[in-house]
Amino acid sequence: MSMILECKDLYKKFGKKKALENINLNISRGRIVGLLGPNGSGKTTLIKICNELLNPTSGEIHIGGHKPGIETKKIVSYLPETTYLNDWMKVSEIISFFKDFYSDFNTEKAYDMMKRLKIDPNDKLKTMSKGTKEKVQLILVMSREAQLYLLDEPIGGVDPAARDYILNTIISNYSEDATVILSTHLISDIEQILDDIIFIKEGQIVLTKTVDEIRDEEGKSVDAVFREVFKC
Amino acid sequence: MLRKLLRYEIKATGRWFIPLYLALIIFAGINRIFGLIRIEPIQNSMFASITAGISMTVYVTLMIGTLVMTLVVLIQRFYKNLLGDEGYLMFTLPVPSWKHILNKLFSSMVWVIFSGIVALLSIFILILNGDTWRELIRDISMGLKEMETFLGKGIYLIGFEAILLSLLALASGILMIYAAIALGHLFNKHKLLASFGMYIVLGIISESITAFYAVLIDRFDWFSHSATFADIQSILLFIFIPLALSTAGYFILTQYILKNKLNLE
Repeated sequence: MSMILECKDLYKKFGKKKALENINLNISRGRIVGLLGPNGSGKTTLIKICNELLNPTSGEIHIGGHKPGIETKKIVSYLPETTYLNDWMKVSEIISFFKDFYSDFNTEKAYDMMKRLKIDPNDKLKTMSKGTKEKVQLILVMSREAQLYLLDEPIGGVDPAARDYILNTIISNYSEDATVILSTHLISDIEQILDDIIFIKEGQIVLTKTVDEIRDEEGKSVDAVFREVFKC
Repeated sequence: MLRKLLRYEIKATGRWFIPLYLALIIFAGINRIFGLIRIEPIQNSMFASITAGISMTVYVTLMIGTLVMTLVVLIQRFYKNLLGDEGYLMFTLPVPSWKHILNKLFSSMVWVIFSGIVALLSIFILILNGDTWRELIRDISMGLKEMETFLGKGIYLIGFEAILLSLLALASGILMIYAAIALGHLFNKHKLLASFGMYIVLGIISESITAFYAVLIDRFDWFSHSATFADIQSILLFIFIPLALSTAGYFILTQYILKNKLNLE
């Protein structure tokens, strides 16, 4: 099967500062991939390039065979680190907004998840806490039947109890040939759901392996390998 | 997609304007009523004059508020909704960036025009009575007739063209603000301040070009003879050219930055 995400010799510079250097990646469909690295290693930059929120300085990137643009935005569901929700809509209104613009959005699924997390669809976004807003955002993103989910620090801001629910939501809500890429530095929390890992350090990829390979070859957990690779 | 964007944009902005418009019309009406009862003997009572004074102050404040609000919303919707945190959502919708610009432009134009109409309407409510209203209608129709004898039926074409030119001028003005904000976005720090600076820079550039152009046109000596239909047509054309060019220029500049230089915080 064709790759969902391909990067070839990808570079991104901000002025003189190199944010990404020589990124070569091939990610197949149907995987849960951890994009792991310390803060400032380039995770967010890479994800932003995938979403056409940044343009690469050089190199190529293809998602489902297309360069980032309208076609890729139709199949990519993106959860940024920032809360991007406006403050004037109700939850039900933001759900219909998503329904209007994304043809792969599953409204029923969204309402169902809101109900399970006890979020009232008639509540205004303005009145919600940051944590609740993050949950709403994650539900919106996971209610799309996308081919590629790009989740930037999906568990960074929420409490450990909600973390489990969110991880469950992620693994139970994507179809078999969809790929989920999630970036985080909280590795032990997500280790059990990952198929593959990508270690990124100072803008360069230092290791790509399947989790099984790591366990078989090195006899260690991903967390232990991470601590070794990124030892200060 | 543009229609869907516009629907949400009008909804997002209407919640500011509609209440303000209603308040403006209502206070124009209240002031009118105070004006009418002034002929009664109660005019001397302190209470009546204080109330009338307050309601007039409120009306004037609302009028200025409408003006300020129109400008603030115009800037804020572009700056916050596209280049702030909400931009993460807007720019990952499967919509090309030029449609985002057109969306903001059209909705801003709608509100500028509505604000103008409502402000004018409130003034009419405040000052017009049966007599002055009839007078106004009579003056306008007389003026039209006079111009018609002068220029023939072409006056209606000229009127239509003048409206189109005004819309174009409005679009150009709004896009200049957007281009300045987009240019300010290229700075790493103090983006809002940089946007103001860029607005001044763009203003100086466009003023210089216009001045140069005006000198050029002036050499043709347009107004030496009486204005005929053909003369007016060419004058309108000479106004149209720089307006069309600046509108297109600001649009292309804004679109280029949003498409290639986007860098959300």
